[in-house]
Amino acid sequence: MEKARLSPMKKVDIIVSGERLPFVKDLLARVRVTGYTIIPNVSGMGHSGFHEGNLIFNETSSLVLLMTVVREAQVELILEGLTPLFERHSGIMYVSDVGVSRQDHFTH
Amino acid sequence: MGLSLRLFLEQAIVMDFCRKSLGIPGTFPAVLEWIGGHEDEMRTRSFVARYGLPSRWIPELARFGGSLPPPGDPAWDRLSERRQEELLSRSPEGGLRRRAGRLFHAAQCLGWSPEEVASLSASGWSLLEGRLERLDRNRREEVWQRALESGLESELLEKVAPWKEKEPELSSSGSETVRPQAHVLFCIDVRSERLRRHIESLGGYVTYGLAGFFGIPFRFQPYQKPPGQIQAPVLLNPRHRVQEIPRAYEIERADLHFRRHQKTRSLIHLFHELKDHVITPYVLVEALGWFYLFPFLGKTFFPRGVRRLMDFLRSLFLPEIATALTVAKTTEAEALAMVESEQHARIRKACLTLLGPHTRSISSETVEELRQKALEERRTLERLSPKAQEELSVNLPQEADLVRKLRNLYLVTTRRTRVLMETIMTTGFTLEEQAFYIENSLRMTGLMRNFSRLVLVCGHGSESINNPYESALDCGACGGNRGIPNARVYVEMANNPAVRDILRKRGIPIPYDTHFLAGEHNTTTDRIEFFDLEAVPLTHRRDLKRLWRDLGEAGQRTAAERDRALPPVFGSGRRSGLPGVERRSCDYSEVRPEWGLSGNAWFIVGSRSLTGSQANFSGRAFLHSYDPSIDTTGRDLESILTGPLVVGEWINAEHFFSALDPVVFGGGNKIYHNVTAQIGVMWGNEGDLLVGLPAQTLRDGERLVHEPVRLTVLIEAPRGRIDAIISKNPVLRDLFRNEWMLLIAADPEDREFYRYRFPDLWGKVSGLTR
Repeated sequence: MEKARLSPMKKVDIIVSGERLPFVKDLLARVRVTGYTIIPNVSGMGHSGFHEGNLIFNETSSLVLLMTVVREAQVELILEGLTPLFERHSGIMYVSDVGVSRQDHFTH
Repeated sequence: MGLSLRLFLEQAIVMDFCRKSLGIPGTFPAVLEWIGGHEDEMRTRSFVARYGLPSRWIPELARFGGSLPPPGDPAWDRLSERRQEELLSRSPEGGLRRRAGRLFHAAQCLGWSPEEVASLSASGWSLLEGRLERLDRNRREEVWQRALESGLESELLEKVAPWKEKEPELSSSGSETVRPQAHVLFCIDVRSERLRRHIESLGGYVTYGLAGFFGIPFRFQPYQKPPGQIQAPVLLNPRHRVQEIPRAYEIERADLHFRRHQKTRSLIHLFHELKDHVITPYVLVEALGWFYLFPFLGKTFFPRGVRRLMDFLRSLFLPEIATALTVAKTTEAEALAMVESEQHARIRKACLTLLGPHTRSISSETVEELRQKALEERRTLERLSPKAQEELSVNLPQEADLVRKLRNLYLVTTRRTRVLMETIMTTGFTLEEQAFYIENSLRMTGLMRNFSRLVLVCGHGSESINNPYESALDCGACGGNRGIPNARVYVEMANNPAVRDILRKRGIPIPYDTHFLAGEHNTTTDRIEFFDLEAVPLTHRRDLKRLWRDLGEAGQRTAAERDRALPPVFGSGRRSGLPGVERRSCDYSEVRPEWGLSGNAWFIVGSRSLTGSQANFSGRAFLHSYDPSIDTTGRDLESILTGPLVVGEWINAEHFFSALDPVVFGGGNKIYHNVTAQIGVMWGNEGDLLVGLPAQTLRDGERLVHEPVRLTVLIEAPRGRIDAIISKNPVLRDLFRNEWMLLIAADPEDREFYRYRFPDLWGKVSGLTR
């Protein structure tokens, strides 16, 4: 079997309230991120206390987790775009190193 | 445009004034420089502008003809001294006189008699004076605000006080042996409260309240209207889609309806084109203007008659058609079959048009072969089978041309197939989803057993004409739309035997003879209309008739109660019964079709044992049913507090701030409103888009009808459960801890009321009398 070769990429995780999701999606579109995964209704604890997820009648107040894998150069752009959001609203973002087997899937 | 015009005029006025009175150009630096050199004169001028010219100065100014001296005149120094004297004389007098005046005011406000004042001891007096001294002048409004809210809170607690004495019921659904005549599910809207009270007073009815989208969020496409109308609170982003389609037996009339609708639409379009053109309006007014006279006079003097006539004409030309909603979800195989049969029809039509009448008798296999060929992603040179070639009698170029046209003109493509499949597959709800939504709403309200033979699911909507604020009168839980589509979807699901089987396994046994029925409460006329009556079993005819009659009676009583609260209608002369409210619904000069949600003050989450069917909340309470004994985990309460309550708070805040400052937060006077580009309203030709509710929604012309108070939330649940929910949800933490809402818990464990105050949390409410 041919040995899988992994190319280094950056994975960006963003957790914001559902209300801010359109902003984040818009930002990613503008920095030409072509793919991401959204996990809605996540729960967790943070600076502003506990956030309950999975509310039946409210999708804007609960948190969403958005994951995307991008080139290193794009991380800076995403960070820059998110800064004004985090200045006013709660949310977090972190970046980690990942390896992907089909790099052309993640870059344009 | 309005703003720039105003700025231009203001600038011109300032220029003119500065030049004439001060002899300087009206620019900012010039004015600043002048102030620097004439500080005393500036202060005196500003004093006069603020308080007016004191009469004592007039003799002094006689030599200037009674007006102010010219700039830089030595008389200004003298006037400046006068001004200081005047200011001193205006300052509050210190010492005894001031204290006496204060006591006089305090005694007057508290309604004391002279004897009571005289009997006030020195310590009592100093206590009172100390309190008055400590009261910050800036906090005066806050004290009044709290007093107003505290009065309303006491009123609420008085109404629900009997709950404290009640024995805890074993089951929330009341007696297990006797079935109620009917159950009615209403929206939590404050306007439902009146109707609920009146229908319950007729005996045999049990009502429940839940958010008016009945827990089912979807995007709705009304018959022959564009899709995408969101039937859910704006907190949700619905993924399901529901379409309104004519019922199968309406096939003939639906066809007629469709053709006439197309014609009407093109006529209206033509009319608008002519109206908006540069030249044609001149001719149009001459030619058609006269026809407007009749509706104009009719609507002005006989609004009800004209409406009846218009309804009659419309029913002649565009008859109402019985429709059904696409609630059930199709499986992938079914959807594929639907798309396939649609494409087959297209291909047959294409062959007939492109190749000639000999293709009428082509076999289904040939059609399918053509379809497959058109759908093929890769263009192959492979020809059709000999049999197909023979049937179609085509040569190679003709065949290629046919396939190309099928793709381009008749849209038989993979892409189109995918879009169609997607549309069909996202329409409706799976069985499991249906059971989930119905179970959820029934569990949340506590209606889980002892179902009556008829269960009415009653949405609501309003009716008015010439009213840009109409959606403020419709259902807030349905995104400002009418609530009936949700009620119809709910009923369709709840009547589905397969859904009932699932519910029975989950502990909600709905008997076979229980029928759910959809209805709509018209909040302007208080009439209730039933929908989809063809689905009602024949065995339920008598139940239906009784319900219809009783709802009619309850509606009339509600209308009479509401009509008394509305200012009299011009021309009707009397103030009772339906005609008054009906006229409001069709009068195009009516600024206040109904009071809507004005007056909202309370939000009660609890069982009917708390709110009591006899308690009269005078249409000021949102009532959400909830049974704390069923919801042991608190999930249902959490859903209520994070969903419907948040929407209720928005509605309350909208009314609160619109009443507080009608110009900045509200919509000002409706009379001057100018509907602008279908996005909002402006005040005449000036300023910004208006954000809030108009004065007519909150005032009756003389006084404020909506008292600006924060929502008082009363929840029947253990305090610990409420605490846990608040601490887990940031939206609730912000609203309660920062006191945007006031919270009282009715704790079923010791049958006491507790007031929530962050950070000390719960304090027992003692003494319910004011």
